[in-house]
Amino acid sequence: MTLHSTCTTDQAAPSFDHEWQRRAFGLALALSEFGHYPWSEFQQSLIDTIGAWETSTDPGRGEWQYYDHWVSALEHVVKQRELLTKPLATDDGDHAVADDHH
Amino acid sequence: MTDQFAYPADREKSSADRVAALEHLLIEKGVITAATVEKVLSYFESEMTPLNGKKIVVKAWTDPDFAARVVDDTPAALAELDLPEGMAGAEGEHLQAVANVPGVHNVVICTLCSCFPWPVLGLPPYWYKDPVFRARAAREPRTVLAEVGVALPEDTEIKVWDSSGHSRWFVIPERPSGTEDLTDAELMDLVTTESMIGVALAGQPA
Repeated sequence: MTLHSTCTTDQAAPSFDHEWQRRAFGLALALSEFGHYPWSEFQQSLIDTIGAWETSTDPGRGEWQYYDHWVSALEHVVKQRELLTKPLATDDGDHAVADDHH
Repeated sequence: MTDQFAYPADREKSSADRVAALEHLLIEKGVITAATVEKVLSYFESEMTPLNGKKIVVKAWTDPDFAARVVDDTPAALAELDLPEGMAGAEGEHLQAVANVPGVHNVVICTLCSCFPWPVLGLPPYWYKDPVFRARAAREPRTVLAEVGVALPEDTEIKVWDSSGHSRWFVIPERPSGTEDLTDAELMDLVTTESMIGVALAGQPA
């Protein structure tokens, strides 16, 4: 017995329900892997985002949707790190050059 | 359960638009390229899969010394195995194995943010990220386990491990009886992602 029909996780690769979820996942991972922020920072942002949803009493908070929180957390980190307003210099391999955030 | 997760089409489009806009801006500003994102995704999708977890479990089943080491110092024990590069990357640096033994059954949840040991289990199944599952598994694990077909004896202790930024737990399920003659490949077939979360037992040999 499985918990749900989608609970067939023995396939060799992770899967996403929608391509935008895949892109959001990849963006968060790639930005971290290439030195734009430590992974723990994205993690904390995700924790904060989900925590805010769980403690919200606002009836308009919307249904639970994990990847919406993921996108919000990513937007938050991008803003915190000012990646769009003050992009870090990157080397030829797309790695962020050491900056004063670390 | 499905209705509960029905997803409004407009919200779906809104989320997709937000991601597309963000990616577009990041590319336009030269922060990252689409190829880089794709490269990271491809690596993740091809290497960070439950296959790694299966290898770890079978090694633990067939090598008692390794079984002790993997619980004692998980990252060090995993470094002994021929696993993909980058196992220590996102979400992998704090891997911690717990072993089911007679009388003790382990379940992994995350009540904060659904942190998950990606490098060994791949992406979590979506119900794992559901707040109802997380809350109930923490509060009444025996009932939840029974509902998904894991009926444990009353005297079996259930330990619930809450993943966090510091510890990404995964379960070494018990080796099923009658598997003494199986090859490693056959044993790997018995190890499911669910069994490594603790919401199932390892499969029985055919």
